[in-house]
Amino acid sequence: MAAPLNLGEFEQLILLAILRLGDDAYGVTIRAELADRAGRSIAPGAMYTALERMEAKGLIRSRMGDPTPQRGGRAKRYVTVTAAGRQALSRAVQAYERLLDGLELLRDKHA
Amino acid sequence: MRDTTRAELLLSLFTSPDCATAIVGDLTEEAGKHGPNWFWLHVLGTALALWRRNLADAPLRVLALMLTGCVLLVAPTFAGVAAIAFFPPWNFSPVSSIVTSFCWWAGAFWVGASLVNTSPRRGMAACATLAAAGEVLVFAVGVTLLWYGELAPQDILLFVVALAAVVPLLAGAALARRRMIAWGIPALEQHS
Repeated sequence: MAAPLNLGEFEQLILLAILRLGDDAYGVTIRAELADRAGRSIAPGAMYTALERMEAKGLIRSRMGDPTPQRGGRAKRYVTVTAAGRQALSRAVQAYERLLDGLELLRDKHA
Repeated sequence: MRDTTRAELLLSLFTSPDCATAIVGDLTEEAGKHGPNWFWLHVLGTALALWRRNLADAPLRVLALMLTGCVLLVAPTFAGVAAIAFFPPWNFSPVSSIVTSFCWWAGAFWVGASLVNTSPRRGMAACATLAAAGEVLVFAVGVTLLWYGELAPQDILLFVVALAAVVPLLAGAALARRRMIAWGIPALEQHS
């Protein structure tokens, strides 16, 4: 049985952004989503290498879309989260919840 | 419209052709807001990131390829030196410079192409790393010899020829990679 995949913080953010974007997740929209919601300005190079690494690990899968004129006739590469990616993300969230359980860290925020 | 084909060619040296197309498409889409300088800055940044990723993913494989490249470079290097040493009347003449340049540059071109043919996925990263390391080494040796006065003026030409060998090395690797893309060799796919 394969060992469970552990995610870094950057991978978690990217997976969450992809899940939020649904069918419209590709390079430009993922970067915009991370900037808008997480306040993270990600260099394109860092994001594309992360996407390649995550696809190699089986966390996401990609498909090529149709070429569009505003992109110089080039296709978009849409990405979706795989079942393995959802499981890994779910495990990471559960770990956070267990660690946060009983802490007063977020009390002011939720009050 | 800027010529983005060169950007796509550059990125396809380090990732699959489909990924290179999509990345350049993304950067083109965003460059409308930021301008051409932003576009080229991030094309170069992405190429460097992909190169670094190729090194980090399989460091031993890349190191083995680099060592293979060094071994393969020995024959043309000695051929270039022999071209001078075995024909004393040619010493430091234009003929010896041309013969040496030809041996070293043709050898570098052949080594670049051979590394990519040996490893379609990691060969380009190995060539780029070998080129960078070679430049630093030759430059450091040249400057050190010059500093201690051990470098005759006529030897400087040899160092310039050696420093310029990086161009045919990368050109050989890039052409081999382009030929593989044109032939659609599946091993180029990063996730296969």
